[in-house]
Amino acid sequence: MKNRLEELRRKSGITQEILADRLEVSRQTIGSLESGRYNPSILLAFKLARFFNVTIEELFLYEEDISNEVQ
Amino acid sequence: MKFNKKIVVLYVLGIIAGLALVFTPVILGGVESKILGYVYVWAGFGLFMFSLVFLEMYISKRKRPALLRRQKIEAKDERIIIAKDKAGARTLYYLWVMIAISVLVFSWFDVELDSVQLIWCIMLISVILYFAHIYYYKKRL
Repeated sequence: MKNRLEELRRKSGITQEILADRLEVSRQTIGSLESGRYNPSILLAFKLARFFNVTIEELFLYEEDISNEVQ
Repeated sequence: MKFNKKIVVLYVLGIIAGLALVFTPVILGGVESKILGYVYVWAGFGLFMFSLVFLEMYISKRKRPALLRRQKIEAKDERIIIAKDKAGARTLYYLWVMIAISVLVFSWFDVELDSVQLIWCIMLISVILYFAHIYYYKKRL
């Protein structure tokens, strides 16, 4: 699953440490999310979406959706 | 941050009791059985290490509140919890495999062995494997 986390974080002008601190997760978890190695729980996905004031669909892109869009 | 004297005293007592248990066979000039001797030494060593490590952790947390907060966050971090769960499951799998192989090999070669030593050895390997797996899953997730 791809996501726009890094893009939105950079737009907001905050560091991984600050985001991690606000969401009460480790900095490494933010790094893993951004690199796509780790898919978050629904709870963390909601927290992230609310933090950036976007919907979950705008933040996380399910692979099947991407391939459908290309077709 | 203030120290809770009761907790510190409890850990110090644990260290002293641990040392006392380790040296009990020496002080008493040997114990009734070999297995009881192992129990004294290993239980004492475990208690000593447990108390020492927890005392050190308690002191460092009180001296550095940022560390305390980071540890609280890491304890709740879902990625770390998943890594620990996966590591535990994988280690349990290897533990059963190790026990099965050990029993087979020792039966096959008709080796006389001290089962207490074998269990300690397998447990030690399991602990090492568990931490190695946590490290692996933390990197992978």
